[in-house]
Amino acid sequence: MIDENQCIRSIALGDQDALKELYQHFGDRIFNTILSYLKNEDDASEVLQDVFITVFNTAEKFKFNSSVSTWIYRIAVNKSLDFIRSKNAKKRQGVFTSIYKRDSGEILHDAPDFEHPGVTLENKENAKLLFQAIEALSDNQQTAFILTQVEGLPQNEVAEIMGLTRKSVESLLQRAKANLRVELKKYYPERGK
Amino acid sequence: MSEEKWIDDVLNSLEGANRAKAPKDAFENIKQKIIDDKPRKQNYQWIGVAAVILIVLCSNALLLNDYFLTEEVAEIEQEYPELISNYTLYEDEW
Repeated sequence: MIDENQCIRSIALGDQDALKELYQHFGDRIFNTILSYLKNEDDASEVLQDVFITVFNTAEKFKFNSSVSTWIYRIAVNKSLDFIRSKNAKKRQGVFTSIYKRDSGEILHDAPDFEHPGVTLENKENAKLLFQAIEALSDNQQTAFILTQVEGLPQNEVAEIMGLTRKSVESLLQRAKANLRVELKKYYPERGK
Repeated sequence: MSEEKWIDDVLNSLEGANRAKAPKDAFENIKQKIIDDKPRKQNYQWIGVAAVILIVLCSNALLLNDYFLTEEVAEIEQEYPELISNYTLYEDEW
């Protein structure tokens, strides 16, 4: 167990060893969360690096009003959503520019079917569909679902990360599940039989 | 399998999943980016300091210029004390 607050104080003074300690504690968790949003390991790695560089550069401004964990998750969620928005904006520019890679002719922005590396073999196909369906949710519903169901965070911590009440998170989660059910019906293998 | 049961299975497919591991070289990249970022930041700081010094020098130059101009005007005014105190220009002609 690390003293997170002490870590942040040391990072604020430019201590890279403290940053490493914090990274070892949170790195995998944050990567897992970002990966659930972006569904691409290279992109997730890029955003993960960006999150910890932001932590290093803004540690001196951290007011200790929330827990360090909440703060880091909040940065990760915002950066993931920003990354998706900028990727979607580039996709829209595809009307004016080529959406194909020059060398291979592959589509530049379309992510292939995402397989989460931690999912058990028998659940791989279902998890692939679930991640596909999550994309149809609004930003807030996605965040509530990913942080509680994928990351396994308690609802009150998710509420703090999202700047909402626990009741709001509960309601977002219910709506997310209802919307996922509707979305998943489209993928039902025996549909129309 | 019924549709509802199948949807429940899909929704629960992440149960028991392990956490994905961050790439091994990620922290080294973070360290490198922080090092690469430093000189750029220091440059910006120096540009800021230089800008402040320039503003101070310019405002001093303006103030000094204004100060000497005021002295000159005062000196010119002292050369015509009668003209300022007595507005009768042609008193001998009366």
